[in-house]
Amino acid sequence: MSISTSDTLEESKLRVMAAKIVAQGRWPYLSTVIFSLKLIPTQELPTLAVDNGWRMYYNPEFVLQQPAEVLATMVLHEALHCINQHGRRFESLNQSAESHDFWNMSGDANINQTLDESNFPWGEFLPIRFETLKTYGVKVGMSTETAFFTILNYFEKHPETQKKSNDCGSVSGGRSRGYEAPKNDVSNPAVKNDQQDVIRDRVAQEILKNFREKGSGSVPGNLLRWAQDLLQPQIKWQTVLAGAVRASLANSTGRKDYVFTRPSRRQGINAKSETEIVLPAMRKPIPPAMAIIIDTSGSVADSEINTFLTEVESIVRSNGIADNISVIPCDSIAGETIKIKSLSKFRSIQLKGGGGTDLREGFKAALELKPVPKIILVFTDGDTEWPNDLPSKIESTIICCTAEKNLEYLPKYSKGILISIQT
Amino acid sequence: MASLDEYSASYKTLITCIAARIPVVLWGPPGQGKTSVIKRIAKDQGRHLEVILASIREPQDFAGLPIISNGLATITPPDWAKRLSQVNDGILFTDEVNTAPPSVQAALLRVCLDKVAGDCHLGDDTSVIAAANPPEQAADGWDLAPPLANRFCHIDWELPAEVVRDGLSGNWISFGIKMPNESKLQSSLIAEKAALSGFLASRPDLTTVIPKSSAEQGRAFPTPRSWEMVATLSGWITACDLEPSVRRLAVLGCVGPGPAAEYITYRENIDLPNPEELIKNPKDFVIPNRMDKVYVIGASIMAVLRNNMTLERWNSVGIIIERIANSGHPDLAVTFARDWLRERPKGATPDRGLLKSLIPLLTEAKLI
Repeated sequence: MSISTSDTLEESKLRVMAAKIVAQGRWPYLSTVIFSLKLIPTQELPTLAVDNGWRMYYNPEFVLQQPAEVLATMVLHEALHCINQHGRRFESLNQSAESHDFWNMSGDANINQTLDESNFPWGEFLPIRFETLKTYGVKVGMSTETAFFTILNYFEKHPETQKKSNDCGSVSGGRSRGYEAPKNDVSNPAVKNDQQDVIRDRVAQEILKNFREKGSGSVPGNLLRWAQDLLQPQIKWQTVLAGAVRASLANSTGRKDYVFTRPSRRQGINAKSETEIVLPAMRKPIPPAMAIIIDTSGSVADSEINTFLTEVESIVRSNGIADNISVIPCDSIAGETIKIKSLSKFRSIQLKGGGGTDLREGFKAALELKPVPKIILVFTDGDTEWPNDLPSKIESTIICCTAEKNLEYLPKYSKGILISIQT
Repeated sequence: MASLDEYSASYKTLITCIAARIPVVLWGPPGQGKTSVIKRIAKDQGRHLEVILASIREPQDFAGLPIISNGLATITPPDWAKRLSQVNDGILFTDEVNTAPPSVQAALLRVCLDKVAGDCHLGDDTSVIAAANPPEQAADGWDLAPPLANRFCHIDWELPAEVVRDGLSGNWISFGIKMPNESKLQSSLIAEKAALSGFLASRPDLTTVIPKSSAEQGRAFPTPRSWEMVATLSGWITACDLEPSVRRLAVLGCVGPGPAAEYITYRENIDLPNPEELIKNPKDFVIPNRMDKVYVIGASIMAVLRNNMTLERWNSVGIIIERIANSGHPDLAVTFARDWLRERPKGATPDRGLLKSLIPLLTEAKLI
């Protein structure tokens, strides 16, 4: 590599700035990140990199070989490292610095997927994509963490494989690189961590605003999901389901709580003295019977049912309602009811079914059980008829629905939870 | 796992809540040193501390014990309440609040909000702190009841590995804040309230947002009460000169992430120069050293220019763009110049000096 003259230095700076302008034009909502990237030319790396203080290093010769349009794609690539917090996420995994190359590849594959979905040009440059990592067992759409552990696993099993070096700088985690400016460099100030958080929040708001005003299609899906996760985090369905079951238990039975409506066992102690302390009693009625209606029609996958049942098992375990649970498989007719007598039974449940769905049959079967269940938990994709009214003996119904489109058609008396099971 | 920076921010947010008498709940798995940190803060600030385990208490331990004497029932306060009412600036720390049954949580409401236990007033100078294990980690956990959850600032508490490492060798790291003087505090609180009312006037829909699921209702969500807590905490944070990360955590802990981000952005923007003033006196424009701020100023200037376009205003924006360009940010200047040139009023010609500083970039980006 030849030594840059001041002309190439000047020209290369112009080229990167031009690339930033093009990048800003493509995704205006990333403006604050793109323009926060401080430019530093260096010969010590072959292409581009960003450090954890959001300073962008570039090789002048390399950038001059790239048209501004292609370089803009690379700038967006670096900006996505910044907003995805790849550095902090790598640190939180507590993995050795040597494994950082794998992390960088996984992050790159994810970022480039987003860029490819918008058809941004790469020119002659060959970016890392999910397909590039196919030999390691990485599949399209894996999260950066999952892809990373998949690659790590592959190299543990095949230590002889040649490692490819790949690095975007300390923005994606790991130690400070040799070419990076010191953390408190006055002439090239770093963007501090808390400032980065504020900028990220701002970008997420811009994305959501853009989405509200211009509708879907105006923002790439991955960016929209990122912004929603940051500002409107969705609580995991497992947590929501556990909360709903707990609330049903509390509502239907007043489970294990203090009441003043019954005398305390210890009330007698001070009954004879002049001043009497009124103590509450504890009330914990027998746990209510619960029925789980499982939609076994063709449209619900067995693996989804298994994941769901595993979750239910741990919920009932932690709530101490191990007995009095029945599982009713149901397609267009209700199948044979399975009584759960011990929790280990959950794992051995085999459900058969297929064809059409009418969960009203499942509710009918539940009402014939003795004792009649007070809580009904339903697992379905929602393509079914529902009973018009909640049968009087049932106190609460929780419907776990796997199809978002059916969520609004669930009966009013029920509590609906959207379940997304990743397979 | 949390980083040291995040831990420091959580720690300082906790101290601020204690100092500002805002009830605070620490969320975290068991064994994160929550109790020892609070003992330490109490000692540092020279304050009396009472520690109570809510999960092994009954409702009357917080609501007072009904005693019938001569046909009248009096509500007798527990001893810890008496002690707190007798000292100045006490701290009440209630551990494991969410493993307490609902009726105990209900009794805690009065203690947290009114600082009253039984018929005993703990005094407004008392700070209330609670700790909770996330329901999925607690053996017998409940979601916090929404009315109780809404009275707290929620802080996630997790010890970074390096803090544990140093702590085991006898050096538990701690952080402190400098207490503000009274006049500075009062003016910060007034300024913060003004900012907040401006914000809520522009986003009235964020005044009250009740989340749908019971799990979300057990954490921070916006209500007039939690916004008031935001005003107090954020005012204190300004008066104590604390980092932006502390403000972010404190606001987020009161109203949740979405509304918090909007408020903080709004707050940052009102600190920026008024775009109309800048257009009037473009030569006074001092370029901030944070690039994201320069961007926001530029965008707001373009917005007000579009609203009221005159030749004079257009020229004046040209001067501002030129200043941005010559301060080493020609790329940022071009972004605005692009729109600015498009909006050119009839008969206007861009200033030569400006074009000279922008042309190389405009050419490079193939915009001309």
